[in-house]
Amino acid sequence: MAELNPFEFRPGSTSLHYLDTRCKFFLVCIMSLSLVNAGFLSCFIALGVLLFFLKQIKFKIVETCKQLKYFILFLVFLIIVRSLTMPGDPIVSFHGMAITSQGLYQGSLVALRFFLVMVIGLLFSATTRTASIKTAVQWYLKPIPFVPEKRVAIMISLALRFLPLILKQGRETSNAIQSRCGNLQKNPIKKFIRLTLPVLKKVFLSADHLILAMEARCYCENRTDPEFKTWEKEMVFIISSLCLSLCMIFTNVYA
Amino acid sequence: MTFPILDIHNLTHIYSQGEGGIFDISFSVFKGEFILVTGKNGSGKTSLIRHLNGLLFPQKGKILLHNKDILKDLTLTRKTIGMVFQDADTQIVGDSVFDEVAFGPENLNIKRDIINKKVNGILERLGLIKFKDRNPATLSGGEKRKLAIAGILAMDPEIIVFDEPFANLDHPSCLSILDIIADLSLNGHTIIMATHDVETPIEYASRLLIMEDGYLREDGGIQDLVKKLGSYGVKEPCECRIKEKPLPWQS
Repeated sequence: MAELNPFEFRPGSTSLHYLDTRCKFFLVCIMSLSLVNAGFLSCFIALGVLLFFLKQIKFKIVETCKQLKYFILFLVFLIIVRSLTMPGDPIVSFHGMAITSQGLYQGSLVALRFFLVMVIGLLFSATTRTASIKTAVQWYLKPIPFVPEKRVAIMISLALRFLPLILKQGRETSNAIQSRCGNLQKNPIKKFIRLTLPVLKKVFLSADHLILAMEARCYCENRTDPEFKTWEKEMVFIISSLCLSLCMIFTNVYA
Repeated sequence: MTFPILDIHNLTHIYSQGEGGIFDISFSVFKGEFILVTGKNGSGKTSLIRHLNGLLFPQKGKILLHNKDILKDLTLTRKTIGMVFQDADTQIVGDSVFDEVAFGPENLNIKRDIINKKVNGILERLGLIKFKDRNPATLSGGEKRKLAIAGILAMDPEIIVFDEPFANLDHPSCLSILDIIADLSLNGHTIIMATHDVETPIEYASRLLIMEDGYLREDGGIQDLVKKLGSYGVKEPCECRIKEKPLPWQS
């Protein structure tokens, strides 16, 4: 039995699982837009709400953070860069460089916003089937003239199907390298090349196999799409998210 | 007189790198047969069976399904000849066990209520119904192989082609997969199995094809060819597992 990567769909019976995918798309957009200019207080309100849903779908937060360590490292890097490059009152200075309080504040805020957007994406992908995402994209694109909605939806669904495959290949190659003491290599460039080249090669090979398997079962544009299952509580979620967004905006204005 | 359902005429495919491939292969498949295609690694077993599903196109020769070229209507070919791949992990595309089995019928644009009924029936038949909502990635190797078979059965194929169905499986899982394949054979499906493990399925097989270096070297009944397996680099099965079985078109 293998462990699921954080972005894979986890079947369940929570409110997010029951919610119509079209509605979930709307909620993701509203929440992500509200975070664009959100301050710390607004971000912490959003974090509280997201943590509630993460707990509801039984996400192990520490384990997930371990799996997303590279993303978290990227956020730390972002904070460091902002702290060092933004002018302001220095907290610590060395060799002519200074960490400023304004930079630290801005860096932390940007990192927190990024983190929240990632958590929103994680909640969405963990509670929504790939096939439903494809159908919802198709539904949203249908009224737009000159857009081949079926083709676009298929491209999105293929990309979503390949994502877990890439992560799996990355994990397996990294394990294979570590099992032969690859972690003793100190040169980060060599380390990077040793991991990425085999991963890329394997990903292309796996993609080839996956395409063959899909082709063998007649994969095409005109297929039976999954039905939208409305839960009748979508309106409650939409109104709540709009209220939360307004609350975040006002908190930002008056803070 | 019985007519073959599948006819392979002088099938040749040489890979672009100039090495490997299959050369001048001809044989016929009759309804209800259980054919084992065997040979050493690299003998061309997988290349041969990939042609049957239209995943590889012949460079020379042709394949006729019910007397019609299989390349004329690939959807019909792939619906009639189902293919179970060697690596179940790369075959699985669904987010849940149910979605995975429904994938094929959805591609055939079958109505949703018919798909639901059909998928539930197949999951029940293969003992996978308890995993219906599970993510396939969390299943064991044997369960994934069963799921891959279920995904093909959902398309109602007449002929089922297996590529190394016992590879990387423990003994109980092998037996469980063999039970399913034997059951399919007894229910009238035509089975073509590429394998180097001849011993496991031999008691159900009715015919043996032995390949070497891309050529079909031997084609005949189990009793006639089993002693020759060793000379082609394939392990000879224990004699106690070989049963006298007439070829379907002879009975």
